Amino acid sequence: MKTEDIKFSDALITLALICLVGILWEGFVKWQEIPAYILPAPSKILDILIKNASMYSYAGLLTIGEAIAGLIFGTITGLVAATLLGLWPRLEQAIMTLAILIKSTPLVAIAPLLTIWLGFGVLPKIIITALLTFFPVLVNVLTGLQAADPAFVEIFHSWHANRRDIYWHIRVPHAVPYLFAALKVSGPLALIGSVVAEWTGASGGLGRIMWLAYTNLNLPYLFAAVFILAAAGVFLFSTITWVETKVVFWEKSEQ
Amino acid sequence: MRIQVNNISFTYTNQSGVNSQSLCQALNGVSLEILPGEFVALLGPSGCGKSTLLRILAGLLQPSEGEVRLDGRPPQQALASKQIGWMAQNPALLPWRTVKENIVLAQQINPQNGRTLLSTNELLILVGLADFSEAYPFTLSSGMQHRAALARTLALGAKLWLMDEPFAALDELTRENLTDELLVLWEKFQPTVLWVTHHIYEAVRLANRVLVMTPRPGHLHAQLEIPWPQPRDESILKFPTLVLKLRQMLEAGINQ
Amino acid sequence: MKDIINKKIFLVGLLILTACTPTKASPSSKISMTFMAGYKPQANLPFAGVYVSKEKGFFDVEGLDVTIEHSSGKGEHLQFLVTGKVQVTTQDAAVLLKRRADPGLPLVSIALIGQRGQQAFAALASSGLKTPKDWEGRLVGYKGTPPPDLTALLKATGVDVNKIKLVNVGFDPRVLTEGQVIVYPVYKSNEPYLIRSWGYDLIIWDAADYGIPTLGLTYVTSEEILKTQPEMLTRFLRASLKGIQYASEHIDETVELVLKYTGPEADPQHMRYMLETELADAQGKETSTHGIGWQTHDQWQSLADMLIQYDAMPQVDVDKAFTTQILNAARK
Repeated sequence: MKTEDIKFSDALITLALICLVGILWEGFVKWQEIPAYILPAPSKILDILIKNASMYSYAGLLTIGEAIAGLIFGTITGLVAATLLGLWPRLEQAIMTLAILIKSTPLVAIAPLLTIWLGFGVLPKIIITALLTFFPVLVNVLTGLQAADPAFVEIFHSWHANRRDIYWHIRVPHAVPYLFAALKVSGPLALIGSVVAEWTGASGGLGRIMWLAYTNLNLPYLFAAVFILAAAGVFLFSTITWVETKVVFWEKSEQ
Repeated sequence: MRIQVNNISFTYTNQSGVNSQSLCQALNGVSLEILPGEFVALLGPSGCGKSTLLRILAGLLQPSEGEVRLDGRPPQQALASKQIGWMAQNPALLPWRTVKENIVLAQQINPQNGRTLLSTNELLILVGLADFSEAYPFTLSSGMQHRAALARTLALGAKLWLMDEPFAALDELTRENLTDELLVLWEKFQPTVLWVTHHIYEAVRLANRVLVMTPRPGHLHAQLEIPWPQPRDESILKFPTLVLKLRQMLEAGINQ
Repeated sequence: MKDIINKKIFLVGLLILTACTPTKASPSSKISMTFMAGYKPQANLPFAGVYVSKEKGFFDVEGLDVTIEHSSGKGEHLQFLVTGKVQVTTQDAAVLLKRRADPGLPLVSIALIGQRGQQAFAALASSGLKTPKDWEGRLVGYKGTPPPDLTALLKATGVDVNKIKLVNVGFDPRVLTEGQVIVYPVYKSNEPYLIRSWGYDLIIWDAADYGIPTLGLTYVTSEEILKTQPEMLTRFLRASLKGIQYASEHIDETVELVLKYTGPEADPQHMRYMLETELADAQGKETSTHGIGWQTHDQWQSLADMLIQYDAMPQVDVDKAFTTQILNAARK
């Protein structure tokens, strides 16, 4: 079987599994007569989703857009910080302490501050998401830069290579798989971050719909937003993984 | 390249500022001389400082005592002018570059212009990888990767090949083939070769001269000339005798 | 020839004149301001008044360009007010007093829309509870911190506080229907509708029925803005009160307008219920003579006294907490 065939049948199996879960869920809700405000049936959720397709599309794009913008911003910042530390290890203590402080501060404290300074638009959401994604990228890329196989460094030394050569030819490419490992964590995290940031005050987006729906105890609307969020998460993760196989081409599984 | 080693010692320390503790003395009073174009095997049990000695010769480590001269000059100069051809167990081909790109990169770093007389393609033909110049290392077998590493070393045009058990991870047949090919290349390019091994049989098969080291702290305890020309095989009558003699020297060194 | 030139001069002069003269109805330039509702978009009466004013153009008539924002309910709307990011917001009267006392936010109520508060307690009719005395030995929920009106209610009905089991609940009335608590704190215009729509009957105890003073929502601004921009506040209040008046006379239309802000997640019937309940509680002794939004020292002092008595708050000067200045100006 070709690799493409394997991937296609994987996708079919996943789809079948999701449908099975959906059917079981629907059956359970109907059989137990669970009211919609406790657990809505998938049929009701899909119904709401289709009826409000444009609202959900717009909100989904907004939230995903905030997440991706924050992811890019956080990744770039993490890369810059990791590069600085790779070149000047003396800064490590200072920068890592700062990073841990940022990571430990709860969102609930930062988000209103950002809104006061930056207004009610998307910028505070992007910054919050960037803060969330920056730390995994920093830690992973730094590890990757420092984890290069000594055999490579040794042979470069035997050619009397300078520090810059070793950095660009060995350390940086070696850190790329680590970056992707971080992105696979940061990507979904960024989505969650956007949603949570919207809970603290937003004029649009999936997080806002979820919050409004919950406080109105309108669960079908809430779950519909959750479905879209889950789909977005899967899509984001798959995209990152796909890009990884293209960029880090040398780490294919053994044939 | 002519190698002169004069009574060097080396101790590994953990360098914590003023109070550095000595962790282990790898070499103690090693002296040797190797003439240009010789193929010398360095035989000894594991962990006796053979790799340390190699690194000192390469200019990658400084001896705690004693002196090393390569063609009359300190090893750092040979290192700076890329006269060191280093090969270790890990072929260390950059996996994100093709075989050809790996060889070209080796030439681009600290370039010594006008030294390589052969083109990359010619080098690959010499090591039997003519069809694989655009291949990535992960698509090659271990043996092929080592050939590529060999081609890379050749591309440097180095006068001294320091080889730390480079084919030790390969199976016996592949190893024999590769060492045979290595010998052909050695005869063609005539570098000085220092070949570290703990494989007695291989030492007799390959080298002009075998130096026997003791365990840590290592020093040279004996040496043996191998008088036969290349190519040689084990059908030579005295082959087993010399293997036995080396074994005895080795054990004597261990039991000291 | 001379006539034509004269006509031309006259026409040009007329054009210049009309361009320069400000029109009478609106001022020469609009004032921009931001109103932040103290919670999410819904049919609370102060919010509805603003929605109606915006949609029906009452703000335009006053020469105001009002941006409407909504808070997430975590209290950041007060932060925005005191830092000048928004100019008017809404706040429950009791919380307004508490925040003045600690941490000392310079809040001033410019209109008391809710003459009676919406805080009450509910139990399922099926629980069989009849009076607060029946709460003894049961789980009673509260939101945030145990509210003083709960303590006051228990005292007024002779219930032993120690016999009540208090538990902190969040916004989720399902804890009542699923039996996690027996008595649940509600906002009269909000949760009861939801719970009834699920098919449950409720019994509700309103603190006001037991003589305990409660006040509802206010339009609130900061001392700074009151001092520097009373004209803007006056126009805002005038338009918003007109909006509330309009809402009381056109309930169906107002519900439609509110739905524009809430989105489809809100139930129109629920919004209607909220509007009607709060309209009823906007009327009181003071408003029959002075109109909607009027507020007196006695009203605020009674509330303050209750809060202080039940240790919800240190001493506070209520006269600084509210003003009738803007109400008076708005009625001119």
